[in-house]
Amino acid sequence: MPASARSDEELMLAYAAGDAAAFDLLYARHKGGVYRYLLRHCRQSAIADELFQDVWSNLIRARASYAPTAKFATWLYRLAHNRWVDQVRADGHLTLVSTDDEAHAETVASIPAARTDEPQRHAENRELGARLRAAVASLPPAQRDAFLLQHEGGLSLAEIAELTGAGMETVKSRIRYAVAKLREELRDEPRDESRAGERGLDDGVREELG
Amino acid sequence: MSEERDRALEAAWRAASREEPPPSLDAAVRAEARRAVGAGPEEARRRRLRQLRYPFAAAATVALLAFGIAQMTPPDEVVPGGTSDQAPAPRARGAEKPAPPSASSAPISPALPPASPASPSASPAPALAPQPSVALQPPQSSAMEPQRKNESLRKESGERFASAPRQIESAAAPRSPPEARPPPSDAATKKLAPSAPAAAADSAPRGIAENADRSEPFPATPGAAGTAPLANEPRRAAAPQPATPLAEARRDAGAPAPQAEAPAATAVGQVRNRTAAAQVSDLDELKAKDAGVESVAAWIARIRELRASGRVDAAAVELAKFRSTFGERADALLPTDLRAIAPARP
Repeated sequence: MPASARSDEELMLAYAAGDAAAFDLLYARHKGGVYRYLLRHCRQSAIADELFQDVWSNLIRARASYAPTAKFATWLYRLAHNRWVDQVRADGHLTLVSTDDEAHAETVASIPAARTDEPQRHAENRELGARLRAAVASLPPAQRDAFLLQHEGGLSLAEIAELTGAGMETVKSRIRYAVAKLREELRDEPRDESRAGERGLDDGVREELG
Repeated sequence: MSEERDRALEAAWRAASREEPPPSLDAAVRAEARRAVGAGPEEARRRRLRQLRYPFAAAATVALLAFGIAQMTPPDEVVPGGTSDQAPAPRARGAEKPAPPSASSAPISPALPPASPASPSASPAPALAPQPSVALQPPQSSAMEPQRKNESLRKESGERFASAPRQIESAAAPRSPPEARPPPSDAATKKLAPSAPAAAADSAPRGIAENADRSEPFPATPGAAGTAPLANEPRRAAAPQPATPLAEARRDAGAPAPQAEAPAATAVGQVRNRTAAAQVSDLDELKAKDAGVESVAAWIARIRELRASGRVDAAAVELAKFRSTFGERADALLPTDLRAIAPARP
């Protein structure tokens, strides 16, 4: 069987057994998704580079403990997600809160809508790709995380739910709201800031500026 | 419609999101991964070397065995009889050019009768051979035959060597003409003495030098030829003595006397050359007698006399006769000064 036809799990097990070539294949398959996942979250390539390297370093260190109980991508993006969360927490500027938790209700209510809704930003991002990237960047972190895990990591709702520790319905809701917002970006219609803000609140996650 | 939108969104997202980690980051991550499992370039090189260890070891073993076998295999006969006989006798440095070819360099007819056991001329000569010949001889029966003969003759020659000075002194006494063996003069003995120390009388170089002398056993001057040779002394037995004729011949040729530089390794060939020369010399004497001359030495003396008396043409005629009698052997028999004379029709 050619090496390219081997599954991610087989490759990871092979790498854990000392096959460096297996790691190369695995890395080639997932490096883009992980990198973009981190880049969309951080929005700064320097930080994304650092996180990216940390994620793979963690994977390398944890190779011996890897067990193919779940998809390799799930395990990999959990490492990436955890590293991103660690980074956010270390910065101290961002706090993930959930509207599901009544303890965060006030905090959620005080969060303004995303700045990408501003007319100036619309005017600047003429190209669709740029608008999309900006729209994703403007998503609330939880929505963005779910959206990226689905579109960059190829994870299913269940896997995202397991990875993030949220409920399945919550994940589904986050993704639904994220997609709806991005659709609006595709439609290139001027949006109502207040509605966007409401949608963001509906998502259940707000970015609390430190 | 919603699904179409989602597909459009997904496609748009794929088109918009194409960033890849920089190559330097790729290299860093891959290097770290290789380091972790010990699969870096250095490790890979070591692993390759480890894989090649056994082929290399096998090749080295084969090479070592081949070398050992080559070392243990007896070498081919370094100086085979026919080859060594054709090789010119080593001479002193600087005398190669004018030096005549060795007597043994002349082709020896296979029809030549072997030296009779009664004739001691052939036997003492190998006695002068140095011992290293034993080491060079392969354990072949054909090669052992002359070696055994040498062994048996060495004892005899040892006694003769011991009495060599006495023989040299006695060589001044006249000998019987039929053998026409020119004895070395005292002066010649004195000449030889510095180049061949008495302490090294039985050494290989001395034997080689004397053997080389024997290849030209005829005096270069008529006076020397006129002296009577030893009557019953075998030519080979007189081996240590006849350095004088060669010394004279070398003096005539302007060549330095042979010294001890002759390599000992060629001593075996020298002994064989000497043997071959002795056998041919007997034949030469017979040929000379058939030509109506007492001996080869007398013939050469006559040529010299004719030449010295100004009868160059007659000398040339005699020389031509000499050459026709001995053919290719003539050059080996003639002294250097006569050898250079252009042949004339008799």
